[in-house]
Amino acid sequence: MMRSGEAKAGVLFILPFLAGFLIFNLFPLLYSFFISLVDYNTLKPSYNFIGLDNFIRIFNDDIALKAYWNSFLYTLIYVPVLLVLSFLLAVLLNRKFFLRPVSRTMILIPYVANVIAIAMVFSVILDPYDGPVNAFLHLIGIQNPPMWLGGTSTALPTIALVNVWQSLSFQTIVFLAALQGVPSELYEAAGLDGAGKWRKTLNVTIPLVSPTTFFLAITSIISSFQNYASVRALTNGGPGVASRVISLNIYEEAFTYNRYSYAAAQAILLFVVILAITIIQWRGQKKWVHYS
Amino acid sequence: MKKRGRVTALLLSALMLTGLLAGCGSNNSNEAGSSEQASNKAAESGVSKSVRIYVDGNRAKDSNFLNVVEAFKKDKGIGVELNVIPGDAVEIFKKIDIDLGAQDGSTDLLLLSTPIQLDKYVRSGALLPLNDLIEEDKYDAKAIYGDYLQESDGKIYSLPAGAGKWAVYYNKKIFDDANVPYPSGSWTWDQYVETAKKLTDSSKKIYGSYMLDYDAYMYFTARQKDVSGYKEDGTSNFDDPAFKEALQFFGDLGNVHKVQPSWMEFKTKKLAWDGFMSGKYGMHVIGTWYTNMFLDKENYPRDWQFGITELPTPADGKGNNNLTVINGVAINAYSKQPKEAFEFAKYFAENNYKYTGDLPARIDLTDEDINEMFQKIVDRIDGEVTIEDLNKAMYQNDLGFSDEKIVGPAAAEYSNIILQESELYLIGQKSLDDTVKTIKERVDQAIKAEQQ
Repeated sequence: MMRSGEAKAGVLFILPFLAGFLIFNLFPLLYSFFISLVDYNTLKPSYNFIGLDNFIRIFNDDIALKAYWNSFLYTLIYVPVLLVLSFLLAVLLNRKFFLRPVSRTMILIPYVANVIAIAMVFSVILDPYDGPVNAFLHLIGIQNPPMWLGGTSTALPTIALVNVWQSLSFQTIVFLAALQGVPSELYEAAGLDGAGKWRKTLNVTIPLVSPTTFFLAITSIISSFQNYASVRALTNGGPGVASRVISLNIYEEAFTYNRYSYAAAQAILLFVVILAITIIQWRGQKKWVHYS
Repeated sequence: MKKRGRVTALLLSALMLTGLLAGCGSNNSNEAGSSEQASNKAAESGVSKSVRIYVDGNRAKDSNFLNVVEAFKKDKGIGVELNVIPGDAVEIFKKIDIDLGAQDGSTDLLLLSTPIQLDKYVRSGALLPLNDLIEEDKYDAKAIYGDYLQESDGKIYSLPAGAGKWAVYYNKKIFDDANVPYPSGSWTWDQYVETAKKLTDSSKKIYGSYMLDYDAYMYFTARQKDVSGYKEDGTSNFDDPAFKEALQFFGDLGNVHKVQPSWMEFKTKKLAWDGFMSGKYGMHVIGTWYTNMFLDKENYPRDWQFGITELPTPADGKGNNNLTVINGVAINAYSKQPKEAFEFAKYFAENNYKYTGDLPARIDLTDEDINEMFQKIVDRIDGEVTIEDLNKAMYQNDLGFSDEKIVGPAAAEYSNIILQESELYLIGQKSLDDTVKTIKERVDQAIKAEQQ
């Protein structure tokens, strides 16, 4: 009796989440899987089953393939730079220095800033003609500074770095919490064994925060594949299709050209790619993640 | 000491957050306020029936548009409700697409700003054919709109509410400072470039010319020569030399003659669509809807006067055309009150030009009507330009007309492909020949995909 009452209460407690999950996550996911198999590629709904045609079409669509590739490159730059920088920053902030609490608060500001506002500010800063960054590069004697968001080879890395700047604070704070969880006696013991600062970081800190690193790696890879807003605001995929990432492509297919089924197929493929990468990471964690 | 530091941090972050919220908030609340006002207005007029129309945030605040709506309500006794969709005039169609796709008939009317949009909705069966309503009403649409009335397989899906053309707006102060006479009458693009060179003054950061990033700029002179975007067999005609010349001409303005911001400059500096109003440019090649900008002295205060003259033409004399783009008003195929909606469509198509500064898409207007239209504009801008200036630049001159937009199979994709690929040529990443070739190949592929 008591148990079933508890179970009821339990269900009641998770109901708000469960309802939200079913309506806004699971149902759209299943629905998009369904429409990826039909020919709903016009404004007028149409549900004729066409099998995997939409998926096959992706592999003959150079622009879509390029967009997947761009997303991959973006992740390749964004995730490692983000993890390394946020770890270093967390180590710095973990020390005692003047105005430490204020600094810790300040670094959170970019995280709460609006994407569009960030895009506007960085467009001004990175203006290749009159922007401060290139003015500085000219000053120190660099003849042909990069075109940043305007160059076909620099646009994507630049967007990745702008996003690193924005996400840095969140990752840093998570790392900071992990660093504070490292027991100080381990450092003392390592010190007694003759380890210097560098050794301590390498052999004590990094292994002990590895569960955090793992968590951050997985979440940032997923979010970087889904990145849309900052690309849209900074370059809208240009120049040409140089920074057109897959989420931008999916959005355009669906809402500019009304090819809903084809867009759904691209989204499902993206889902499969992310899932595969996550599974590989999950399997690989035994080699480097240490749970104490 | 430690405690105080924490308090300072807390205060500081609270302050920043409030600032952020305040900054973001003010705009939104303004917008919400005005759209509310608009729908209140509709409710106040105390009419039983009312039609609903999709509008974007800007139009919902545009007093010119609201005046047409008010006049309609007064004249016809039918109410108008605005269905305000957030976003600009292009973005809102993403929401409208979803409504129309779901066969939602709760909003009766759509304003279509280009024939590409019209074509798309006609193809997908989202619009109501007006033929029956026209017949029932004995409405002589042909006599009023002539060739501006667009038909598709013998059916009429929209009434033309304006026929936008192109003109050159110029900044008289920059001409005076450079001691260059104002342009007037017919002229060629070569003369335009020469004039722009005289006006360009890099020391003052003044460019002689300003153009935007619309698809039309990429193929302007080709369309002036009325070279079609499609071949007889339905494939892309972008390999016609006229398109290559047109793209090169546009690119040269910024990259070779340096009389306007290069594409790279335009994009990386995020130069604005209303940049000409900043007073940093001598001449602006743009659609005639731009006249409205000079009427709005609140948002665009100026210490200079503007002038207007007709569009230049290719020097070889083979393209003496202005480009025209027809905007229209159409009825949702699932509208529950097509008759009332048709009343609005007629009223808007006939009278829109009197209020909004759009050029009329009517052939039945007398010279007096035209004069009256221009007189209204002249009155509102305190005589900065004369009726004759406006009339010669926009309406009665020696130029013929060809369609600005490339309308046909896969039109929306065609336009985007032109922009994506031309960009690579304009920033020097791709040769002209390769660019034109890729555009044709990609468009052909898109046409083929659409046909399947």
